[in-house]
Amino acid sequence: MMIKKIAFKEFKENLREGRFSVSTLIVSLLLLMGVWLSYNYLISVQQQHAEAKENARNIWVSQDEKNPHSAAHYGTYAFKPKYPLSLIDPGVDKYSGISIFLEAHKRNESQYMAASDQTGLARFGDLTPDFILLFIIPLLIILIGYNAFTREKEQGTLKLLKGQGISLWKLILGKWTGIFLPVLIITTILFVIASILLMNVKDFGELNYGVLALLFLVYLTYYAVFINITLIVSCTSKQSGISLVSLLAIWIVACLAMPKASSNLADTIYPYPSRQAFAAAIEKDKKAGLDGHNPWSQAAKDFERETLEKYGVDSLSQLPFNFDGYRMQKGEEHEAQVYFKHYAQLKKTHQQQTKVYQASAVVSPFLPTRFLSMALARTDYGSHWDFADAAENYRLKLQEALNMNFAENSSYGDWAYKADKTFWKDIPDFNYIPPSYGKIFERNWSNFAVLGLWLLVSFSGLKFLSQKL
Amino acid sequence: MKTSSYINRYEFISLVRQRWLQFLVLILLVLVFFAVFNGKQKVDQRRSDIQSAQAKTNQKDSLGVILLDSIEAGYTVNVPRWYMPNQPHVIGYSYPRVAAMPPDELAIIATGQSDIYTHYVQPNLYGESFQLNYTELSNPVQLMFGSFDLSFVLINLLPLIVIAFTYNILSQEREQGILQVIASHPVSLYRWLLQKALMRYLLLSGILILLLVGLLSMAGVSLVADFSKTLTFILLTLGYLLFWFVLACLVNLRGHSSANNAVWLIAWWILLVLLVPSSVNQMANSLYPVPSRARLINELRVVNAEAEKKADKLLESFLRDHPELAGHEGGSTGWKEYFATQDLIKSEIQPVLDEYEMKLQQQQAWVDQLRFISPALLLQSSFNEISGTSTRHYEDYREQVSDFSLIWRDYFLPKIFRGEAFTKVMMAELPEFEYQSSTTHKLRTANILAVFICCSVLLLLGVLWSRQGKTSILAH
Repeated sequence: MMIKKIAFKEFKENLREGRFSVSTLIVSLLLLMGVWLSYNYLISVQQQHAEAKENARNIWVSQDEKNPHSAAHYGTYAFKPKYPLSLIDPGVDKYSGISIFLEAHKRNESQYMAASDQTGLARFGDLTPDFILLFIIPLLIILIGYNAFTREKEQGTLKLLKGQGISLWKLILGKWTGIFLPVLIITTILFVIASILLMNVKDFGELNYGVLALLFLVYLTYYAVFINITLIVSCTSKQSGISLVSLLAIWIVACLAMPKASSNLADTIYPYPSRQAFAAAIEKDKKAGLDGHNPWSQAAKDFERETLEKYGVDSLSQLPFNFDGYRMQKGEEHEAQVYFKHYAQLKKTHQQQTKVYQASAVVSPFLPTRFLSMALARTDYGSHWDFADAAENYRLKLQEALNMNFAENSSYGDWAYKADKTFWKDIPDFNYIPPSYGKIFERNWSNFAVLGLWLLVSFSGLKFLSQKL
Repeated sequence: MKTSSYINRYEFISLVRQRWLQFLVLILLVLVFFAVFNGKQKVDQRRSDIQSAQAKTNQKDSLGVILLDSIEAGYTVNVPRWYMPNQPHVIGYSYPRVAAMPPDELAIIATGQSDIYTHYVQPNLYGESFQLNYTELSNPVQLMFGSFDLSFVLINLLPLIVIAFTYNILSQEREQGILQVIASHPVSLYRWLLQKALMRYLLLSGILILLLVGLLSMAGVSLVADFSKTLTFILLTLGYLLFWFVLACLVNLRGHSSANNAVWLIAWWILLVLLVPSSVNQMANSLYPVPSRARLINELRVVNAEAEKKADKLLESFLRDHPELAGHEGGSTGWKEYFATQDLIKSEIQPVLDEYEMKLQQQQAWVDQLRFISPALLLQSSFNEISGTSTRHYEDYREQVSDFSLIWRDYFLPKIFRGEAFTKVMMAELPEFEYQSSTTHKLRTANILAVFICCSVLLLLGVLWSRQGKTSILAH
């Protein structure tokens, strides 16, 4: 009862103050603008991708009759799908490319990151909902709450309240609720608008309401942590100005400086190879083994002898299949292994970097929220890896189908063989099914844990202070 | 005169006693040191990547020379036929040059776009330069968070330090009742405030410049190599600092409480440093959207396939364009077809690619025009410019590489078509790439001017304001 009264009093007082209404209004406007821009962008990109995916398939299917290996070099494209929740958090999508070229002998990186089609300003960030949710609402919390206690101290009302024998814990909880209420309202409105918009979009795949709710909860937890910090600082500061400036310093460290610092740290401890160095290492390993195009190498000679022995024949033309196609496939398998090895190393570096970020999350509640938000929206780097790995698996299957068609339907030395036009259609299209959310939770358990820990510790801090005040 | 020196002394002593000075030195030292360290690490990495690529190329070249030497002396060499370096196309393909973009002297200041793009490519005889991949292999999370570089410290954090240092420069004196005491002394309140602010400004700039110059020199950056750039950098930093000081004084002159001042100053910071840049970027994207890359992919493929079909017919027209290559048949028709196709693809694709470049340039032009609406925008674009890491620099680099790959091709084509052998002597005269970093001096001067004009306008506003209500600052 008491808590409710205090919360209400705080809320009303805030409403009467210009600072609160102006900043809330600005934040709400920004959010609406962010959602609107993000929605338009998403719709157009989704349309472009659907179109491009269909075109890529058409181009593949409508190939003339040609040698399957020519088709393998001609290749096709895998387009990265967009997910509904990227409306709220586009994550690293801007920096991770939109499609992967699937061709013979090579695992390609995804290309055309949107950031390289923008000016340097793009690095300041976009006006998307996640920008407001992650950066601006915590600032709003600070603006509403920095003087929650300092004001009472400055006006001497804290002594009055104490004199009346109020439980300080109840006073804190009341103030807490008073700050939380407007934040809750704004966040709820945003999520409701987002889900209404998403409900009306057809081709987005399923919108998982459970995950949307979880995302909502993650943000609310983040705000709860910030409210706790704000109240702790307001409790311990002597003057409102000092409280505000300290809170601002905390915000800067948590939301701006720590992410950057941890990114430098991750890069220093576990650096990525340069593109050229990575490619050169792969090239070196490739050369050490069988090259499907090179029948003169030592590896090819060995493989020839082994195959002849295995089938008990004297010459390659006596084999029941076209050895050229078979060698091509074996070459592809060797190359696939090389790529697998190098990408496994790269992935390991990525995972080690991720650990650095997760460790830095102990210093900043922003980091676990940032990562959870992207992960739930399927726009994090892990989701990108899932897609790239799936595309690689498809590429290998595609190559196998093409090489085996060549091997089984032609005879040795018959490079003029052409596969029938209908064959292209028989090869299934690339349909990417992302991993289940279970896997995403598993990957992000430490972020959940750290965010939970932040909530727990900050609440305990507040409780502890309430006995000291 | 006597009074003013007295005010200065009092102000200095009180800053030391309140440990403000110590705090400033410490925090600036930590921030600048960390930023310089990070910048240096990235620049060193870039340098060593290029160096090791160059070393590998040199090594390969000397092996090639040895092989050529043996071949020319008539020995048989143990190299597959298709890898014999006396064929020009082998050199053109397997002995590419390193087309590198080494860091500018002041690259440490701003990471800019350098983490997105790669700093060397090796264009060869086959394929076209537009197909080269210029993006660097990187963790997209790092690109999203960005780097903790000097540009971040100076543009984003420095204003907040100024705010923390000055939000109560006047209001505190009033809140503690000192203002009433000062008012009873024979000294102008405005002059007193100005002197106080100037003292703090000079202190902060002095510490900052000392730290910047000291730490950058320690990091091995030569500040005198391109002194005009260094000077621009320092002047811009000082101007930006001044801008925030003037703003803080203006907000103080309004005569509200310290907390209210802090709220206002922070609101300005959010607006100028966070919201304006991202809004301008958003608008640039909406006004000049780059066409869909997804569409480009398929368009490229269709054009490619068409061009291959046309290639046979094209051969004649290709020879018409290149009469110097005609009449030297000798098993080289395959080459002619190949390059004729490449030329065709390029001529058909170029308009599509130009559209992307054009949109990006339009975005850039628009952003350049709008950089005056926030000093943060202005500083960012100038710092990237000074560091040689702006979008424009990378565009320029791609263009230079594209030109170079033509030179490279033109060097080999006649030799290939005429069936000439490649010799040891030719190895020394291969075309080399040298990146020319260009700067636009005009833009830099304009930027410095703009920052200072910004400050003067604010100052003027402040003077007018104070004339209007002389008593307001005393009022509560």
